[in-house]
Amino acid sequence: MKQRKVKFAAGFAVIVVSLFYLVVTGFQETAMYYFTVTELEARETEFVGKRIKLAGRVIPNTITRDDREMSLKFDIWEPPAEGVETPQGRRTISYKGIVPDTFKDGADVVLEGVTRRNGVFKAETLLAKCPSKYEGKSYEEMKEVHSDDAPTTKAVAY
Amino acid sequence: MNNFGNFTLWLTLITAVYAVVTAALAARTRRYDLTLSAERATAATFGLSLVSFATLEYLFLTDGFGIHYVATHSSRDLPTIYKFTALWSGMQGSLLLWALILAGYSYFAMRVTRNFRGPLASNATAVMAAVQIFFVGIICIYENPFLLISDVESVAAGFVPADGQGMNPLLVHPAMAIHPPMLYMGYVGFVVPYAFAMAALICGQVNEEWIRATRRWTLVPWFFLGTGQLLGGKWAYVVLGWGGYWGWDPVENAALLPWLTGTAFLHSVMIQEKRGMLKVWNIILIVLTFTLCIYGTFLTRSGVVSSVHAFAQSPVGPTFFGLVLAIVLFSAYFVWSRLDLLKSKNEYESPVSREGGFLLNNLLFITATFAVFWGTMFPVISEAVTGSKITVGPPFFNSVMVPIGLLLLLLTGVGPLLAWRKTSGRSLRRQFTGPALSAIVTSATLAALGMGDVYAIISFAFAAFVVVAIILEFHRGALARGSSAGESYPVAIVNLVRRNRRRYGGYIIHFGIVLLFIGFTGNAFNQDKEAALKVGESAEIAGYTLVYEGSDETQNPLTVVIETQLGIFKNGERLGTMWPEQHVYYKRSDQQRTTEVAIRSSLREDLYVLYEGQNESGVAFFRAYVNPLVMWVWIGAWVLTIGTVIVMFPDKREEELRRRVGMAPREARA
Repeated sequence: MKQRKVKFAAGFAVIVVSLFYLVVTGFQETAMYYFTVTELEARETEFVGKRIKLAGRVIPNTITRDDREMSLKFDIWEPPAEGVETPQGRRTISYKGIVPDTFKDGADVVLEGVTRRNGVFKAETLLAKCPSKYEGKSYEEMKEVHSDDAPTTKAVAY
Repeated sequence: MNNFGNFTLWLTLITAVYAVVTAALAARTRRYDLTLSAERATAATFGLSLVSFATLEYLFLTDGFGIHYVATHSSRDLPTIYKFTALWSGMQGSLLLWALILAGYSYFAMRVTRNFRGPLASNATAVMAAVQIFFVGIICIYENPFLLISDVESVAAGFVPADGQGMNPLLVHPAMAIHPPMLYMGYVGFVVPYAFAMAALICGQVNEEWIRATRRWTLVPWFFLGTGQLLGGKWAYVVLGWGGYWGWDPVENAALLPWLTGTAFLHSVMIQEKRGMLKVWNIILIVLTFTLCIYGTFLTRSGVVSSVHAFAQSPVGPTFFGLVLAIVLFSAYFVWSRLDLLKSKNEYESPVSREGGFLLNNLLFITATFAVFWGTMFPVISEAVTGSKITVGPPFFNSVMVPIGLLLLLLTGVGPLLAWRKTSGRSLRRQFTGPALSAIVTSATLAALGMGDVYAIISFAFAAFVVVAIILEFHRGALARGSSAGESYPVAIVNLVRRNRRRYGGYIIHFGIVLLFIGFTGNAFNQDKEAALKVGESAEIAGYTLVYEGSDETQNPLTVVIETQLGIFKNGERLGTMWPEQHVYYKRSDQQRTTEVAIRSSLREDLYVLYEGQNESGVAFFRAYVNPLVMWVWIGAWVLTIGTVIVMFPDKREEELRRRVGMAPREARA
């Protein structure tokens, strides 16, 4: 009876330890720092060339696309938060890859990639927050929403 | 209308409070009049919740833009069906839907348990009504959907804008219309088994009655939580256009966590039913599951973790966290105080037994839960401890969850073949020869065909093992019926399922899980390619040739649709045409675009093509993915649904059992 209990406990322990090992090693191999624009600025030298995640907000009118390379460049900064009224920091991002529909001026983005020595952050993934609702229009715009202005082709082709 | 809605909300709060008090008293005194009164209060809560919900729906359908919530979530140009679903596209409305579903579950649980009125049912009613108070209270105080614009913003009283702000075009999709309610049906539904577990502890009736009473009530939310997530995945796949359906985002994980513990619970209660063991563990599991449901709501609403899904953040975050703590403390106290009653009736005899299988299943599910929780919360934890945020992404989740998932897959086949208490060597050989052989043949064949991915080979081998094991179970059962009852083979199969829905329905669910895994495994072979093409040029991916044949632009009332045409060729033969599109919502100030993916699905693979726009010189940008076996995920979801429906209906054996243990009307009738 007692021997059986010991055996059970031993088997149980082996399984638990191996599962724990699985989680820990998986963790060590994939963990990554997650910085905001100003946090990266503060520890830049330490993290040049290291893979990190970077969060910020796209500064309006900074998005430029290189059509030949299918890549884009834009600047992000840290949006105003509690106690900080103006946006802080600024970093240029270069990115090549799929651009989500939600990516636009003022969008909150999370990027994954490396900081180059020249300070440009080369992103390999780009996530833009997916809105659960639309919050862009003011009440003024709501009133105007049905005016029938024709679209310009400029608005269509980017 | 808004005053009326407000009024019913507060009235709901009152009836819920009344239900808690009377139900708790009824449980204590066993007075019939109090029991009835609590039941009526539960019914009234449900009725009033329905009225508030209907009122808000009325305001949405009639464009009542004087109401702040309606004005910020709907617009005139929205199709009627989406005006209806716009109600739960924001915080306040989705909380109201939560409360309604909760009231519905409480009401129907109460109706069903009227057959065995008594302290157990009364206490459960009290617990459910207490949760209701929390939700209705939050709605009334913090998140009232009936507020006028002038209550929220500095505009003149009675201000009614000409139109509302509308819904984000990305959300205007059938899957998004039903995905949130399904998830809520899942999240909320676990309140019933939780309430019964707590009720059992409170009144000291910790036998298997609460488990038997709530088995179906566990299956329903489990089903909705699972399929709700798959629907969300489907939406992401066809609408968001990043080529996948699951990204280990915190919000997705939040819904996965209770599903994992809920699945563990569904399995481990069987040990308690059959062998009277694991009583404490089962209660811990259901507490954990329900807590994770509330926690998931908290996580998605509080902005604690950063996610690609941005939800409206609101002051209810901390309040929800308070509820999580309250549930944990309340439950822990009662488990602790009843620990002496929760002793096991039996002991384990052998690890090679059904109990052993379930135990391993539980261990794996809990590890998975822990890993997902850890990975999701680590940024928060590390920031609190070290000051800098450290994240883990899909690589972490994949490296942990793939091995655990594969072990669980194997267990899906092995577990049901093991006998209770212990399995003899002879039966092991007899049961396992066929499945094991098929697994070996499968893996050898795949390796010989040059498949290099070890995990994929293991996955397909295990899948073969489970499928053969399930087929053999049906086959043996049918043969046995054939010889004992003289039925023909097909009749025997049907009767087999009808006579023991729980067991054979369970096998069908397992089969659905196998199909899901086959679909997941396809991810190992995904390919993608980007191409910049002029008309007439072509790109190749995975044996397909995509020829850009031109584009077309049409203007609709709300959008400009740019439709591109691609000819699809394989080995020089034209397979068909694909039309990936881009829609530009040109009237919106932000010129939002949506990408309409073109997908060619087959059982073998999906060809998935996005059009990403074009430049001034007429070069169009495309991105193509070839995702093998994705369709098996959706097929698996349907099989899962069929299996769940079969399991839900009572079979003859269960009715007999119910009659024997006397769950007939009694007590409290006096």
